[in-house]
Parts: sequence; structure tokens; C-alpha cells
Amino acid sequence: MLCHDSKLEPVGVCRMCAVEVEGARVMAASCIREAEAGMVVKTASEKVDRCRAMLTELLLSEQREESLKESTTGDDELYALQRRYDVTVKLPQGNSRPMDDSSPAIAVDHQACILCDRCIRACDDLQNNDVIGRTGKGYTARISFDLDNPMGISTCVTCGECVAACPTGALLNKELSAPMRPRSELKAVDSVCPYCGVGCGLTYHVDTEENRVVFAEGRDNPGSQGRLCVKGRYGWDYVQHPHRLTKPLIRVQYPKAALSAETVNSDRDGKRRKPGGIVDYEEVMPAFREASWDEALDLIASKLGGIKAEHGPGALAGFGSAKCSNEEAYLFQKLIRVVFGTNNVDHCTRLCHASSVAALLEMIGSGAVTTTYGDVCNADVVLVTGSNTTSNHPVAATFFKEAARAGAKMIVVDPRGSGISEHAWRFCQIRSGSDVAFYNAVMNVIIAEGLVDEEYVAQYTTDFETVKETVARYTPEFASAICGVSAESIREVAITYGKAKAAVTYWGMGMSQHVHGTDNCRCIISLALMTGNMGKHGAGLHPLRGQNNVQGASDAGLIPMVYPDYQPVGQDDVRAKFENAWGVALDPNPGLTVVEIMKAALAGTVRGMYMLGENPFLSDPNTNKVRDALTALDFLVVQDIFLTETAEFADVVLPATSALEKNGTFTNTDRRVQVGRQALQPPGEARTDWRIICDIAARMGHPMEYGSSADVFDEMVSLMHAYRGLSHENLGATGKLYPCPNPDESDGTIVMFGDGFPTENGRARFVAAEHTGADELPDAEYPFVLVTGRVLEHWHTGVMTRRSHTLHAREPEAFVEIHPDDCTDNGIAAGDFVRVSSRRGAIRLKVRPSAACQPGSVFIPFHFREAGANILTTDKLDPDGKIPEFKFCAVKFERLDP
Amino acid sequence: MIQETRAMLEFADDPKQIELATYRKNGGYDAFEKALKEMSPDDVTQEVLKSGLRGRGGAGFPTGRKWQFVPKGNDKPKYIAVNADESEPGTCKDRVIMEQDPHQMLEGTLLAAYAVGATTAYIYIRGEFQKSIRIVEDAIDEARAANLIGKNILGTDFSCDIWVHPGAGAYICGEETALLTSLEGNRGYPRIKPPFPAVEGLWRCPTVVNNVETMACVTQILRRGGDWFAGLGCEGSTGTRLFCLSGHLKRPGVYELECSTDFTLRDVIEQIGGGTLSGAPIQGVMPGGSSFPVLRADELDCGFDIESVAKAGSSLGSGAIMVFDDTVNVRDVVLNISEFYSHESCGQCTPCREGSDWVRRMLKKFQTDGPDEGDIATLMDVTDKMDGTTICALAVAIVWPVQSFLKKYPEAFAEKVTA
Amino acid sequence: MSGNESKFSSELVAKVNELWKRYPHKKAALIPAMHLIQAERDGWFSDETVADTAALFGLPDMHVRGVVGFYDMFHSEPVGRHVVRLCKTLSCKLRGADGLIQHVNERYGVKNGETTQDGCFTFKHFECLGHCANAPMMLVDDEKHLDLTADKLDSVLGGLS
Repeated sequence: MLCHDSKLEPVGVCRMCAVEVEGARVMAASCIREAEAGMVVKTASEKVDRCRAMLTELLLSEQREESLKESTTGDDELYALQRRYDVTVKLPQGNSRPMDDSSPAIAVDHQACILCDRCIRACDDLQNNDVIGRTGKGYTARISFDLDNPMGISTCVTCGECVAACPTGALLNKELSAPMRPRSELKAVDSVCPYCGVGCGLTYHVDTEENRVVFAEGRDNPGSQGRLCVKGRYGWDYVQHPHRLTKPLIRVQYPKAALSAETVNSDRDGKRRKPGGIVDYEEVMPAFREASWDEALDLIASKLGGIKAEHGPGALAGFGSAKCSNEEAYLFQKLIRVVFGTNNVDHCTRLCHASSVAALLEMIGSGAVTTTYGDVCNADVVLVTGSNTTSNHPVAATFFKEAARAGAKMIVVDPRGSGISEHAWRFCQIRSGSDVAFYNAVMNVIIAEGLVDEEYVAQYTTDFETVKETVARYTPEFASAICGVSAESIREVAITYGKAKAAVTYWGMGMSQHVHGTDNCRCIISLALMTGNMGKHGAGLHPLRGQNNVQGASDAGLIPMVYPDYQPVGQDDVRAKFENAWGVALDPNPGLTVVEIMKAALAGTVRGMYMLGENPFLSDPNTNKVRDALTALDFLVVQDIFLTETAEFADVVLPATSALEKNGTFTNTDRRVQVGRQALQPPGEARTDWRIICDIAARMGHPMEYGSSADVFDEMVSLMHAYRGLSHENLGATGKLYPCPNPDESDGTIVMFGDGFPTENGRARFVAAEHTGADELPDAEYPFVLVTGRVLEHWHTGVMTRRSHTLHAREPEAFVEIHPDDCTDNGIAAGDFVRVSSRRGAIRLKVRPSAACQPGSVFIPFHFREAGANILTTDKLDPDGKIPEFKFCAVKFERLDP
Repeated sequence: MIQETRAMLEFADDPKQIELATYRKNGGYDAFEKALKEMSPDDVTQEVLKSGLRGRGGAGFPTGRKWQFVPKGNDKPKYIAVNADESEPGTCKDRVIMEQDPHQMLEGTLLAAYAVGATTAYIYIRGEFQKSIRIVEDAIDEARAANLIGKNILGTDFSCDIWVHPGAGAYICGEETALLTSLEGNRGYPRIKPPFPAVEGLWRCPTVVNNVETMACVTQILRRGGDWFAGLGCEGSTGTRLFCLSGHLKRPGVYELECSTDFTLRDVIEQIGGGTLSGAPIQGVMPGGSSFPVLRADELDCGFDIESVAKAGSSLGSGAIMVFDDTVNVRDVVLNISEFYSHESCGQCTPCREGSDWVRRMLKKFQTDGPDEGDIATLMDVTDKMDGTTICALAVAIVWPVQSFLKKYPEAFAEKVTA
Repeated sequence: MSGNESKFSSELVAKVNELWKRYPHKKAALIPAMHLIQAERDGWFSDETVADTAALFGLPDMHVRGVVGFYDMFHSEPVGRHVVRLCKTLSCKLRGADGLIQHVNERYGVKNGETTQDGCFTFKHFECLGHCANAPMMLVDDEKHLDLTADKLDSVLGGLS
């Protein structure tokens, strides 16, 4: 009763569920004792009740006068037992034990701990983090973190799984927002986490009077199974930040330029103003004035309409957002295509998995994952490549770690060590940019060892010979010289993968964000195909999608070359279908992609833009170029919930709503379409994004009217074969994995392509790739390789996460990771400031020595405006995916005086 | 006069007995060699069953039956764990075997391994016994060099390795499942039974856990015959046993005795132990380690065997007979006992973790201030609920003695009269 | 993993390698190995030693810390050059352990768990050390001293350096 939690293995330590077994001298813990035939059990008796009452009293005698959980959320399970068994505590109070307040989000009250073990199992078995253990013995036993450190300085990642598991007030959510009122007085809203593509189900507990979220909890769904990470559990308080935009803003300060110091120039040696942070409103707001919705919308319609009239539809472009719902993505692309009259619509998928999708579409005819992250439990070999899963897909990582612990061989291939590589069976730390050489050698071995699934290749694929021919030259010895992994290791890994009964591949942007990103993906797709690791449980391909709705936004057509459901704009019959549905003639030419649009803005061919929830100033490569591009636009509308760095260049800023303030569907990395539900009222005059889109359409002479987001969904589904059968209603509480043609009977499809592929001939096509290497190699002047990426606590450009108390407290400032040997060679110590520069710019930030980097390589997360990593990155693109090379450019660094 | 019957300790006084050559000269490993070459594993088990041997660790479970619980035809490896974590207060006999005749334990271990088909045995010796560890390790090395341990022992198909595994100071690791948890490299937490170790023990494989003295008995049984063993002692308490006499006695020591209904516990205390050192009257006796009820001076005329002592309300337990005379305050004695068990509670399950220390605190108060009104009843109530609700038997090891002291020495625990 | 050389002496690592061969899982050698590690690291487990041990075994820090905290023979605080463990359980108590404890408190100025000012020894009360028939007794490091009296105790402790 106290130690039991249905998600955890029973341990039978609290003894509160002890029952009488006839014929036995001792009582049995019913949570763990298996019933046997003929066993006579008394679950209720005077003896049972008296024992429970006594145990309750013993435990209560160690508690504080008042339970911190009982006086807040009112759901302390020990006190519930006290009420149930009518216990008055007559025993003298026990010793006092300390309070540990060191974590930003979690209070640890050792006095209230009853050693039920739930937090330990939650940390170790569910999240597989192994932070919480026990130390001491007997009465002095207590839970402990790592080396018995305070929680706040331990390696705890603040996922809060322990808090969710704790039955008493020993592990408590600190108050982040409104006072914690009893659970029964709060409204529980079932929704979906707004951060990454894992799309964890969660429940917001809302104080409706205060219009505030009080706390969030994981909610069981077939994917995330109730687990959350620090962002999901503690990262929602940004929506209540005082910086929220509540009224439309119109620019008054011209000529246009960047406004805050960091945006004007991040390379400010010795002129640091404030550490870290967010746009300084005092600095930026004077450039704008508040306006009514009518005035703002009229201005937008006239300016954008004017540009279209004068320069043609191609002078307009829009960036939608993978943070918004499917409905909003659908309407946004519809607005751009139907009202603006151009296909210049794209979003951040271009920056994350465009190359993965390009390779997948080309080879297997579908850009989505072929199996789920949870299917890892059915694999005996797991390949995780180019993915810092523990930081970027933390809850998916818990399943990977669990599989590894259960005996699956996890092979991690990555230039940079990360949390997931610590759980690897083999970690192949390849040199940056050598993926193709490595995987070609793996395929070379598989072919040489006769591990090709000839039957599968013959039945389901074409063009195997091209790959066979290409990889013939990539012997392990040849590749080893390129990738730095020993030939022996390559062989071992190849043979292990080749012999697997079921091998599944998960990859992240370490694969995709290269000028050879599409080639990288071609290799791992070929690898899966030639070994027949497709169309069965525990096998397949899964690019881990970044944003909560990057899968959905792509599905919904927020891509310049395709309509919803990846239907090419250039294909006449397809276009006719959409023209018919939307009632206008459509542009037959594919539009420009994200980076191309920026280049066009700089060249003056794109003049007006509508940006919905994107912040390219920080997220796009080569910031100095982006700054010029944004400045060059004639007219820029930014629609967001905060004043972003990009909004500093806007002519009109529209106040939008956060994910917690509206209804809509989101499609996660697994293809699970889930309904996000409104938990809060939007602040001030902020409007729901999809309504704003409709408002603009109407002002521009093309009314789009919908009663609700469910109506938008229905229209969208009618044009998307993959989503057929789905509606808000039948998605229910836990959503569906598309394709799911019978949603009333099924949760949807986990494994795709058991019998062929959605290509013209029904077969997958092998495409060979040659190792070409990165665009900008290190040289004498810029001798280091820069790899950019993310950290667990922050999300993309930090607009949301840096306004969250817990996330900011855990990771408050920009840093660069440098290998300890390189630090020593350059006379640099932890905490020193360095100036890191590339051919495109320079930034200044703090050093964090880390053996996770390879010598000769540095890592910088791109979330931090005060040291934007993209000032350094190159905007060279992959020829097929049009994705920039965020994972490789040449830099140098020098120590700055304190 | 009661006399010692020296079988296990026959050669224990010879300092050379720890050497393989001497052990072999004295008939050592003959029984093992014979078993290997002439007996089936089941024959060995049958011989042990015939002897009536009951485990010498304290619980007294029939050894042969324990071995029979090991599943046959299971492809999992099987293990032997010899419990040499001798820590029960008053108990100091296993150490005598290890330090004075280690091969006798090893031979029994090999016989047990042969009987159940185990290929590895670990001798879990408490970490404080550095001398025992050294001597047993040397003995293993010698035996291994002589192909008595290791691969294809004495040219047969039977292979078995034996390793010493030192503990690190935790009484609870003498509990058989805690021993296994500890041996696997963890905090020594007892496991919930069933499953029993013979079915699921080390690394979830079948594991026989036997005490050191039990293994020595196995050697004697296979050397001299199950019938011989069964003919010693009395029904239910066959063979010889090592008894540890300690406390206020003239002649404390480890003695090898046969149990008998013909003489009494008092006879043993007086004739073997020599009565109290000071000559002061006996106040009480813990006849089987400190985890069983105390017997008052007027309760010692029971027979000297498992059944009779049980009938008298206590247990022969691990064979540790601790005697205290009337110069000591029983409140100090029971507090000392409670301090031991509360210190040694592993802390895993609630009734023991919370209860044992609560009992200790209460008894501390009794010692310094005396009980307040109602305290005795509360203490009895709390200890009642600790009995039978825990994962292992450590909680009852504090409950039984404490309750017995409160009941048997009411005058020492008279409640304060509140004004 | 690269660059992850053990922080322990090569002799110790060699011994641990031998221990690992005795068990089907490395973890089982933890406690035997920790005795060796504690001896090499000044008789106690600092945070650093715990972390090094965890790294050697590929176990979480908290696991090793929890093992240190569970077993009385592992120390989580610095100790003197010698560790004196005096048995205080019933058989020893009945034969004068309390008096010896008091004697050590007064004569050497150390209570349970304390180390003499000169760092010579750390004094610990221990529960039953298994020599009940030769009570009272103590262990000084690995050596046992039986049938103890105050005089005998002084001659042993006086001989420590």
C-alpha cells in the first residue's frame, strides 16, 4: 500500500499489505506473495487491522507535526492510512532528520521518508538514472543521491519521477507558480508535453481561480507510459511569465535594426551586460507601440497584399512552427499557398530531419518512422547514432536504457559521448563527419561475412548491387583511417548487427545536420534493408523527431515542395485535388526552403514574411547573414508568445497562445496523433494561432471559417490518406498511431512495411553513398571542429525554457565543452571565458572541460542568445535535404582575461 | 559427569590439522573420494537424510531435505554458499572449525556440491575473521593443488571450485537470503521467501546455503556413516553439536556435546561450564544465542535437546549458551540485546527498521528512568505487531528476548508510580 | 571507453581482475575488492574513492556509497593508523566490556568512533565479534586480543605506533 506502485516491481518492504495465510506463522505481503492453489488468505481481520494500525503509528511517530504534503496537495498516503485505521499517535516522536532544499524543483524531507523504495525504483528502474540509492543501515538508513550528496548537486536530472512515486511528503514538488491547493480542488487537464517529439502524455493540475498550473504529472499512454523529463514536469511555468505578449505591437522605430545588444552583435569582448537571459523588454519595447487587433491586422493585410501586388506572390514567404498544432500547421500552409499564392512555406524540419526525410522518401517511400521508440524492448541489437538521446529525447532514452539493461546490445555511434553512450554495449566514437565511411565499412563486413538477408533483399528491394559495389572499397581498415574507430571494432559491431534477430536504428541530428546528411541516412537505411531489419517488431528505422509536432507539421504540409501527406506540389493530379478542395489555383513550382528564404531575403527577392512561432535569428545558421536578411525585409510579421530575437526585426508582432491555452493535435516521433487540451485561459488579448491565421486570411480577402480546431482537423484529414479515420473525438485520451483506419478498435500501427513499401513498385530502393566529408575542414587558422547541439534543460532558442524557473536554474548560461587535453594544451581551466570564432563571427562564453568531446573538437549548445552558436555555423546545405551543416565547421578559441 | 564427544573436534587441538597432509593422514577426504568414485549424488543425500542432521545455523532445518529442494534437470548452474558469517551473540564455534580444521568444512562442502550438482561454492566468512579467511584460503589453495578442488576432481567428471568471500561487518548477512544478496555485491537485504534459495538463490540459480558446522557434520556423516550419526544424541537432535558457553561462567568455551534427555541444561551449565565464576546465583540463561527467549534460573531443568528446550519456552538455536548471574541488572542485559538487534536491523522493511529502534529507545528509557504507566503494555503491543510481519526473522530476534525479559523479570520493570 | 584508466595501483587492479574470475558477474566481487581498496586508500572511502570504485566496477556511485554505508567495516570518515574494535555485545559486556570502554575513554581520550589526537588509532565499539568464550575481546586491525583486561589492553594499545 505504501511501497506498491503498479508501474514498479513489487518489493514488499512496507509490510502494510500483510495478510494472514492460514497455517503460516508469519503474515505475507500480498503485493508480492503469489497465491497458490488451496491457500486460505484473510485480507481483513482484527489481527491484520491491528498490525496495519501499529505500522502506521510507528511511521507517523517519525513524521513532522504537519505533513508538508498533507498541508499542500492533501494526498499523503500515510495520512490516508491514518484516517482509514483511525490511528492516534501515542508513541513518542522520533529523531528529527534533515530537509534538503538544494534542488530548484524538488524538496527532500528526510523526516517524512518512510523508506518505501518507490523513488529508488522510479529513478533506477523507470528512468534508469541510478541516482537515488540508500545509505546507512537499520533506523539510520536513508535515501541518498550519488555519493550521498544533496540532491541539487548530485547528477539528478530533475525528471521528478521520484516525486511522482513518493507516497508521503519526502519528495515534494516545490511551489513554482500558484499555491499548492489540495488535489481535489484542482482541475486535472489531460494533455501532451509541448517540448520534444517523444510527446509524453501528461496531466496539468490547474488552479482555475488563479488561472495557473500548479503541477504536472505523467499520464499513462502507450508510448511514454507516464514518464516525464524535467522539461515536461517542471518546464511549463514559462506560460505564466510576465513577459507574455498580451497585445499586438506595431513598430515605431525606423529604420529597422536589431534592438538588444546581444542581437546587434554577440561578439562583445569584455562588454558583458547581463549574464545569460532573455530579451530585455526595457531595451526593446520602446521601438514598438501597442495596437488594436484591427489596426494590426489591417496593416498586415495591406503591407503583405501590397508586396504581392508589386513583386508577385514569390516575394512573400512564411515560416510555420513545429511547436504549433497539426491544425495550425495545416492552416498556415493553406494561408501561404492559397492566400499568399506561393509555396514559400517551410519550418524547422528543414533544420532537423530534412535529410532523413529526403533519404527515407527516396528509398522506402515514407518519411515517418517505421516503428516506435517503445519497440526497442523487442530488439536484441539497438543502434543509436548521432543522438544525444538522454538530453534530447529523455523519455525515449529511458526505454533504450531499459532495453540495454535487459540485455539488448546497444551500439552507440557518435563523435561525442553522451548519457546514452554510458549505457552502450559498444560505443564507437567516430570522427565528426565520417559516418558514411563507418557505415559503408559496416555494410562491407556484413556482405563479406554472408550476413545479408538475401531473401528479404530479393523480395522487397531493388538496386542492392549499387550499394554492394560502392561499399566493396570500404574495408574496415580503409574506413578506420577515416573514422578513427578500429577495424576490429567495426567488424565486431557489423557482425553483431548482422546476426541480430531484430535490430532497430534510432538516429538524431548527428546524422542529419551535415552537408552529407542525406548520404548518412542512406547508409543506415541500406544497412537495415540488407539485413531485413524492417517490418517486424524490434527492427526498423526511427529518426527521433525533435519538436513536439515536427512530424505533424511535416505531415500537414508545412514543406515547400509538398502538400499535406507529402503530395508533391509539382504533380498535376495532386495539385488539381488541392485546387479543388481549396477553391483556388495553386502555384505548381516548389517553394524555397528555410535557408533559401533567408538568402532570398538578403537578395531582395523575398520581401515580406509571416513567421509563426519561429525564431530564425538564433536557430538558423550563420547569424550575421540572418541579421542582414531580417533587416532587409520590407515587412515582417512575427507571431509568438514572447518578444523573440527575431521579433526585434518585426514590423508587427502578434500575441499568440501557448500550447497550454488551446486545443489541437500533435503528432509525435512515433506517429502518435494526440490531442493537447486547453488548461489555461490566454493572457490579455492573446489569440489562438489558428484563429489569427484565419483573421489574416479574411483581411486578405479569403475568409477561412472554422468553428473549432476539430473542424480544421476534419478538413485536413479529408486530404490526408495517412490520417484517414481520425478525429479529435476518436483520438481519445491517449491518441492513435497513424495509420489507424479503425480507430474505434485499434491503437494504430506500430510496425510499418511488413509487406512492401509505399513506392511505385512496392519495393525499397538501395541508394549508395560515398564518403565526401564536411564542407569546412579544420586548418591551421581554425584548427577545431565545432559541433552544435542541445542540453537537457533547454529548448531550441530558449524562448520558453529560459523563462522557466527550474530549467533556467539548472542550466543558466552559455558554455563550450572542450576536451580536457585541449584545455591543458591551451592553458584553460573550467570556468574560464574564451572567445570562440569561425570565419563568420565570434562569441564569448564559459569553458566546461569535458571528456565527452573528442580532442580537436568542441561542443556548443545553440540555446543561448548571449553566445549564439549559430554566429559560428556555416550555411552550406545538403544538396538533397537542404539542411545546413550545424554539426561541423572550423573554429578556434582563445582564453579571455577575466 | 557429562563428557564431550569429540568427532568434529577430534583433531582440532593438533596445530598441523590445518595442513592438508595431516588432514589426509587423519582420514580426511577419504569420504569425499569414496563418494566421488563409489556413490551417486543421491546416495550422498540419502546418507545425510539417514543421519537426521539438522542445520547448525540456528533454525535447525533438516539438511538432507534442504538439498532435495534443489530442482533436478534444470540447466541453470547450481551453487553452494557456506554460511560462515558467524555473528549471533554468544556464538563462536564455526570459527573454531575454520581456524583449527578447515578441510573438514571444505570436504563437507565438496560433498554437498557433489550431492546437488553444484559447480561453485562460496564460503561467506564474516570480514572480521581475518585469521579464518587466511587459513581457509590456504586450505583451499592446498586442496586445489592436490586436485581436490577445481576441474575434474581426482580424475572424475566432477568439477567444483570453492572461493572464500569475505563479508564486511553486518549481522544480517548471516540470514541466508541476505547472505546471497550481499554475496552478489549489494547491501545485505534479506529476500522475500518463497522462492527459497534452493530454488532461486545466487543470480536466481538454485543455491544451497549451509552453515560451517553443518558442513563439518556432513564430512563426519560420510566418513563414519549416517547410522553412526543418528545413533548419537537423541531423537530430533542427532549427532554431536558444538556448544558455545559464555558469560558469567567459570569455564566458558566451545564444547562438542551430544544432546540428551538424560541430563538437563542446568547440568551442562554446571558440569561443563563450571557454574558461575563468582559463585553468585544464576539469574538467567539465553540457551541458543540472544535471539530467543531468556530462561530464568528456575527454568533450567529441562532436557538438553532441541525439543525439551523448546518445550521450556526457548530454543537451542545456534548452540550459544549465555549465562548471567544476579550481579547484573536485567534491564542492562535486555537493553544490550536490543542495542545489538536495532544496530543490525538492515532497515529494509518497516516493522523492523522503525520498531527495533523504537524498542531500543524505550528500553533505554526503562534503564535510566524506569517505565511510565502504560509503557510496558505499549511495548508489548508494538513488539507483538513486529512479530510475523517482517521479511526476515531479525525482528523476532528482538521481540522474543525483550518480551521474555518483561514477562519473566516483572520486578525489574516495575512501573514508576505517578504522583 | 577511451581514456578511462583505473585510478588504482596496478597491483590492486590485478587482484580485482583475479576476483572477477570467481563470479559469473563482476559486481559480486565488489565487497572483497572494497576491502583491498579501503586498505590502499588510507583505510576509508572518500567521495573520490567511492567514485573510483564505482567506475572500476561500472556501477552507479550511489550503489557503492550505499554499500559503504551498510557495512560496519567500511569507513566513510578518515580513520587513524590503526582501527581498534572493542566488542560490546552481551558475552563481552557480562565480562567487563563496559569497564574497558570507560578505560579507553579516560586513558586515551577517545569515545566511540573517535581517533586519538596523534592519529594513532580510531576506537570503535563493535557488535559481537564472535569470540564470546574469550570475552572480553578486541580486534586491533586484523589481530585479535582475547580475555582482555585493562592491563592487557594498555600493553597492546601502548605498543601501537
